[in-house]
Amino acid sequence: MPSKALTGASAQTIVLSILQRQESYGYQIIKRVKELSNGEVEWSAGSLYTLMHKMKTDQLVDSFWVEKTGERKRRYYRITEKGASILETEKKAWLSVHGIFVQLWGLQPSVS
Amino acid sequence: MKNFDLEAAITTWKHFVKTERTISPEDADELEGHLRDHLDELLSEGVHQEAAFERAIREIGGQKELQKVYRAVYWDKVRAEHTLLDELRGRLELFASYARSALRSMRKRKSYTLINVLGLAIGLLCCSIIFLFVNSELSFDKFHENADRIVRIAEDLKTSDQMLYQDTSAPPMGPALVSDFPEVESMVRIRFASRLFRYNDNIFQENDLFYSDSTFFDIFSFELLQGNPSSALVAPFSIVLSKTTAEKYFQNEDPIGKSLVDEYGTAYTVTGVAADTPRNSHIRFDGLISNTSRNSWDADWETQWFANSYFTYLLLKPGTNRDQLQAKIPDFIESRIGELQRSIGSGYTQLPLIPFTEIHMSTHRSRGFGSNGRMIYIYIFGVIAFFILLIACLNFINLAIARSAERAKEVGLRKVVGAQRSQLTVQFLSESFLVTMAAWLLSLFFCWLIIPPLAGFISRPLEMSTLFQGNNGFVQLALLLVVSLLAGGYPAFILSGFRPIKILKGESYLGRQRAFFRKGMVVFQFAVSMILIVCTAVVVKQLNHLRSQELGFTNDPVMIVNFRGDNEVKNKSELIKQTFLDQPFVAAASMSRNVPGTGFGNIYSTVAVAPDESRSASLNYYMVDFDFAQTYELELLAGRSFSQQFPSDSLESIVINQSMVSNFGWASPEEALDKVFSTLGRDMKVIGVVKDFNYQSLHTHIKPLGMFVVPSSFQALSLRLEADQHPGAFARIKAIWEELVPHRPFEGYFMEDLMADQYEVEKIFASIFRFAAGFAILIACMGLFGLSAFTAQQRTKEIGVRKVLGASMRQILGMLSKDFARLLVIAFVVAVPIAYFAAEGWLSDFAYRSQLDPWIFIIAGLIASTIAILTISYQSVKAASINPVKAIQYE
Repeated sequence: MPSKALTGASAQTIVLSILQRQESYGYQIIKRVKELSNGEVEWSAGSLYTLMHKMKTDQLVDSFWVEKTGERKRRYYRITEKGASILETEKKAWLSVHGIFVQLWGLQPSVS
Repeated sequence: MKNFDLEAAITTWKHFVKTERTISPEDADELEGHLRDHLDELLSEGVHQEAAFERAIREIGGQKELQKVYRAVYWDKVRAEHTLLDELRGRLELFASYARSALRSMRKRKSYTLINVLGLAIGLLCCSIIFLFVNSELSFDKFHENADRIVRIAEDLKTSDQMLYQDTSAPPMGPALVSDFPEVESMVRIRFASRLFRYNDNIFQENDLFYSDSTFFDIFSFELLQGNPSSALVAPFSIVLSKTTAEKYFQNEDPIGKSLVDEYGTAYTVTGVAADTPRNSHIRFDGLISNTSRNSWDADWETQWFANSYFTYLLLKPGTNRDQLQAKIPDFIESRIGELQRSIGSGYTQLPLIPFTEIHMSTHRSRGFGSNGRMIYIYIFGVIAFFILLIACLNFINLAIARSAERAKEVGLRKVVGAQRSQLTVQFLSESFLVTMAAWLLSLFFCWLIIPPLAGFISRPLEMSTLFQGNNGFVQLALLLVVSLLAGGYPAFILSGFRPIKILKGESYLGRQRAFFRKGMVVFQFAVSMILIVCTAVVVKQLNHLRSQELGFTNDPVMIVNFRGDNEVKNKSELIKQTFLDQPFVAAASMSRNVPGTGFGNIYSTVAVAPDESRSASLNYYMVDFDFAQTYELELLAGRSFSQQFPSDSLESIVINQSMVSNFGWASPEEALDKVFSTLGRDMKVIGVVKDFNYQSLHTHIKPLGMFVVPSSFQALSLRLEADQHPGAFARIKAIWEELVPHRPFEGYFMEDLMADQYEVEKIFASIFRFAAGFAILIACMGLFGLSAFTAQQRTKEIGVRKVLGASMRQILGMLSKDFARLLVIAFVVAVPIAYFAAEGWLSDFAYRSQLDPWIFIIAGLIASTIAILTISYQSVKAASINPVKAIQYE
């Protein structure tokens, strides 16, 4: 389980990364994070939706309502251009941090 | 929660989420979608609906958690966006939602709602009626502009052998006080009068007339519709009529300047028309005759210091201290009539100044007039109303607590989805407010039905509109709020405090303490009911006791025909008496000035109590004819009655009663014979002593009385009828009278009715008690009905098991009734001493009082218990006769 500080620092980047692959809705995002962390990282609805709200205010994402046949109406989020460019910057920063740890801990470099 | 309704749970949860202002409707939809996704997943894993809901809620958070996170981010923005209007709208919606859920809960449990609404309505009705009654009693005479500056003079008169306390005063007092005291601005003297007036063919007997000084309309604020208020009553033979009276004689004509002619042929000129007197005035008149009219037949009436037939009212200057003025009165008496008083050996010791607005509520002295209120009755009624309302409130509380088992689950659910305690409290309070509101509206409807007949019955001006006049509207509102809080407060705070975890675990929500409280309330309700039943019984018994009192005169029906001293009647009195005596149904006839139950005369006389000793005494007297004693079948103890065979009897004889004998300390009735009473210029020898008969009312003991013959004073004809000829006699007597005395309307009534009228107050008191006791027990039983239904319902399963195991119907009934029976016994024990002291206190006011019979208490206890047990049995039998198989399956 990552620390609160780390969750806070990484959450926005994780959401942006998910959305870059595919637009998604709140419940799916939380589920996806849980899957990717093998159940280690479990975000609460409250914190996710407030984060989404903040990102929307910062114009990193925008949202829209979708009603697919056979499913309930959901609010989807998708990444904006500004969000994508922020993500690029963030990616570099995280990779460089990652590189430091790889070398310090003598691990095989791998990029997902 | 027999079946968990997932949709209902979600709706409730969303409702609470929406009440949070920082969460927009879109956000709420999003959260709902989230919750549903999560639920779908859990359900597909096979998790039970209820458990799934709980887990999903835990993850997403209740309103409180959501509020916290959302506020952290949104607060500033929302605050900027939301206007006050939005805020208000939100609050309103919230209240509407409380009201909706309150209504739903009320609809779901119709019988409980009915019990609560009806009970509270009756309680509120009692309060409203008592409020109106008290209001009308306390409003007496307050409408006069000068009300706080007017006083009435009373008199404390010391005679050689007693103190007399009178409401009346001597005619010279008023003018003398005005001239001697600068602080007395003016005065008015009034005196009862009655006349047979004629205008063309309209002839009416007027009994509510007053002689009055011309200052009447200056001092009082009675409205004069026509005429000059300061001069209308100046000239002799002027008369001011009330509007109704004027219309009676003159219909559409203008009465001013027209004349009414009385039975003596005197014409009175109408100089004014006054508005009809308000009912909350102790002075109520149909007409006012100028005092100056009296000069023509009683020239020196204004100088008689010991004639006490006037009521004198003083108007004090603003700022006058009544106590200081009062202190100066004895010197005033001394300076004016000190010598006169010493010469006759009796006199006034003080002239108490009675504040005008206190006259109605103060105890009448000797000759008060107007309806008399009693503060004690106001207190008693107030207490009764309070207790009835309290019983109704207790029902509400009791049923709410009993139902709390049911409501507890609802509370638990609401709490799980995030409702806060304060919200639940508000919700329960709105429920109780709604019930109270409904009860209040219902009580107004009852009030509207009941007030008009009631006002007539107790002859008080009760107006429903008074309930909302001035500050009274706020009183109503306050009552509404207080009752809502009183009835709903306890359940609201207790229920909202339930811990959901305990409820969901199925722990008991009704602790021992609460059971004790509930039982205490049942005891209280029934103790009050029993006390009221005892009081009713005591009042009714006392009334019967008074009615069955040996009055000391004939038990046969006596009919009185009042002719008010009409000269034409007096002139042919023997003819009239004989005409009636010729009728087979008339046994005896007599004419007299006084008859039992009305008034009596009082005068100073000197009595030669022993050969060498004479005493002055105040003498109560009856002026009668030769046949009076025989007509009323007065029992002679010594001597003889008046007789035509002794012509001197008409001037020189007096018959006294037994009390007079003991009053003067004579050893026996025989010893009283031949003693001489001197008064009215006569020396009268005692020729006979009659056994005491009740000539006043049974409120007081019989006082000494003397009777002598004065034909010129006759006012009424008494006819003793044959006991078995009673029906139809009235009409025949009326027909004969109208033939004999065609010029005078017939005023006849039975002695019995006259006596009964004296107990009017007690009769009203008895009926109010009867209603109060009825209402109290009705409300208490409604509560018991609901409570027993609940007990039976809670024990349905137990009953089923017992039946299966072979318990008989009777055993089950016993089991269900035992608890309540115990409470009734405790209530009885509590009620008896309280009822005893209350009844004793009231009875001690009567000279002739009935005894407090232990049976009254036992029967009251039995009545209350029987009604209670019957109420319980209905539910118990229902529960006991349920099919055991069904009972066991119950829940």
